[in-house]
Amino acid sequence: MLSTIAERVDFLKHSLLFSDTSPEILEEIASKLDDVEFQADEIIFKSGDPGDCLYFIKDGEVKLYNDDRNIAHLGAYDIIGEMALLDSSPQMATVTSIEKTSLLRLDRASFDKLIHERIEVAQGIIHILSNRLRLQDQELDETRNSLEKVILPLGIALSTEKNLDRLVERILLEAKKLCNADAGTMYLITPEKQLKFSIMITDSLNIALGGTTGEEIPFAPIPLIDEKTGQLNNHNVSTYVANTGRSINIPDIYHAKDFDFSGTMAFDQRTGYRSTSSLTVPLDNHLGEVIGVLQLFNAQDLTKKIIPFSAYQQLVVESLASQAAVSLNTQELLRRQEILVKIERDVQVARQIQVDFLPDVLPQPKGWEIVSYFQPARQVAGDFYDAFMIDERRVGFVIADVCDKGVGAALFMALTRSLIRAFSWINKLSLSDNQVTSPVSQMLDCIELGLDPVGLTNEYIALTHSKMSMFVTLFFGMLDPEIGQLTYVNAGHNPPVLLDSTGKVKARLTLTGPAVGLMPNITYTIGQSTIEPGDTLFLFTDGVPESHNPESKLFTEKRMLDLLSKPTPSCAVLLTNIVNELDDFTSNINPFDDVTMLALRRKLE
Amino acid sequence: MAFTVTSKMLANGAAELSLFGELDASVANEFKMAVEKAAADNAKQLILNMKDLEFMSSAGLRVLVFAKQKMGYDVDIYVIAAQGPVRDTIEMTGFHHSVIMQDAYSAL
Repeated sequence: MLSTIAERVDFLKHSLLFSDTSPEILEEIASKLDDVEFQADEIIFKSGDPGDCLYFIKDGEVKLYNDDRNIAHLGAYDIIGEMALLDSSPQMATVTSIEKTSLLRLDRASFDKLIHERIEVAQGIIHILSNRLRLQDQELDETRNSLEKVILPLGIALSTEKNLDRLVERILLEAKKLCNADAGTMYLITPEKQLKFSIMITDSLNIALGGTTGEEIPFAPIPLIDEKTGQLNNHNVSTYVANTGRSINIPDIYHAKDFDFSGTMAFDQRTGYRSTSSLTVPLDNHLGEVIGVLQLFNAQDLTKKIIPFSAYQQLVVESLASQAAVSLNTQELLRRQEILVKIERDVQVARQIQVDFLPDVLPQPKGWEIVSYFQPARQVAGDFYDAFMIDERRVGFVIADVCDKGVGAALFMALTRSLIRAFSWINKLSLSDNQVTSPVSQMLDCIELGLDPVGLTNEYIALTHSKMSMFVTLFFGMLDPEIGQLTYVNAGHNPPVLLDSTGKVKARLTLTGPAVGLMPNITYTIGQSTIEPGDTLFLFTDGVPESHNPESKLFTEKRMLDLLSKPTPSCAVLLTNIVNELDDFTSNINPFDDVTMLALRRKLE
Repeated sequence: MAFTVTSKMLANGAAELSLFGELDASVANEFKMAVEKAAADNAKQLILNMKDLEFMSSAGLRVLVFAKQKMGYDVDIYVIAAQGPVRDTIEMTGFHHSVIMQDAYSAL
């Protein structure tokens, strides 16, 4: 609504700028003013805009802010835009109307003329500026004081707090105290990327939930990512702050358009509360990760009147949140470290158990050399080898690879190894000596009796442990060292290589049935071979041909066969040569897969 | 090369999964989820089109084992056009005995 000259003069009289200006001059100034009106939430000018006029706030309320930082709230009789006019710089802040606001505008030319001609107006400007400076000085002092007397000691106190609930509670209580805020909530971010309510306090309603209260918070965690769209969920102020790491300061949430406060409003409706001002700040752990969000409601002045959170309070709460995040982070790291130490201890135990499952010494029948090599990719392996005497004459040996790595594979390895050994013992017990004429007949007899160790192990694993979808590729051999006769089952394992004394490949012992655990009801075919004097049987797991070098190139089976083709004085030398080549090839980077080898040589007579 | 799996239901009630790229431990779960979906949809057969699958590690094979168990032993699994190292992996472990290996799909 347009104002009359008389109304404007009356208004200008109350402005600090014109406290010493005569009514005649005020009348002249009044004639140069324009009436402007803004509805709520309209931008009056933006940071960076050229400063081309001065505004007097006649009625209403505006906020000054930069990025997300609130600088000030101004109302009737305050002036805005004078700084940019004075030094011809762009506007330093954005000004938005909080409610319907009426302003009087003075353009640059009139303002310049006024300043040059009227010393008392210039004095008025100086008066206003010095007032602002004094206020800013005061705020700086308060901030410094808060940092020295509140934030730093609190940071130290927080760093010694070992109980997570107490720590979170203390952070919230201190933040509330700093702002004289009536209510507050702390959220922590879960590994599932959700904001979990950690503690909630509303003094005037006598509500305290979570934290050390032992009272459950009845609100579900808020997802940070919208499950339907896969996009960041920035609808809620708390999730926005968590996702962006920026603070949000809102004078009245019922007038906020950018965020969904329906949850808060529903809470208000239920409880008769009126959530008004809100300050939401991130807990940034200094690694660029937001680990939680601190939200305060309803800052109060000394008379308990609800007021917006000031820029100063925002700064102090941000500092506090920052200290708190460091403490929370330290605590989380300590907690993870404890878990890690525990896991490490368990893995060491598992490793020891696994080592116990490998044979201490390998049988060395007369005229034979049996050697092994075993290098797990992790502390516990999925590969294993075994060699044992089945009776006074026969040697059983196994090489196997469980289709996974780590503790799960190791448990499976232990299971498989034990079953093979146990079922081999049953063979020995089930067949009386006079039934046994040769290993071949023994194994065939066993199969007829349904006692093939590999078949039985497969049956057990496929029927009992199918949920794991684990399988084991395995080669099981039974050797009569006196005559060099070998019977074997190859259950989906890399075919072992039979070499003569010159290194020529005599045979590959290819599969006689599927990997153990793939499916039940398998009858494994029995393979047969003879190891002549000077021959070597070389068994390996895929960790040998599939070893990677730093450029991700494979070692390859060809390279392995090339090494095998070179005659060696003993199996021990043969394995050492391969290990050295592998080390050279991989440049000793951590192996990706377990590497296991077993070699049996029948010495030349 | 990255791994992708696409699924569709055929008119005869079979679920067809087409596998592209390299199937190793880091992506095996995507394949597993596609199998779970086919099982949940009560597929009558599972067709695994491996024409464009270049590599399959034992983790991929483990999903095949999982598929056999999840779909039930009465649901036939067809492995179509498995090539080179993928075929070797399946055959070396003997898994080709528990699936139907074909060059082009033709329901038995």
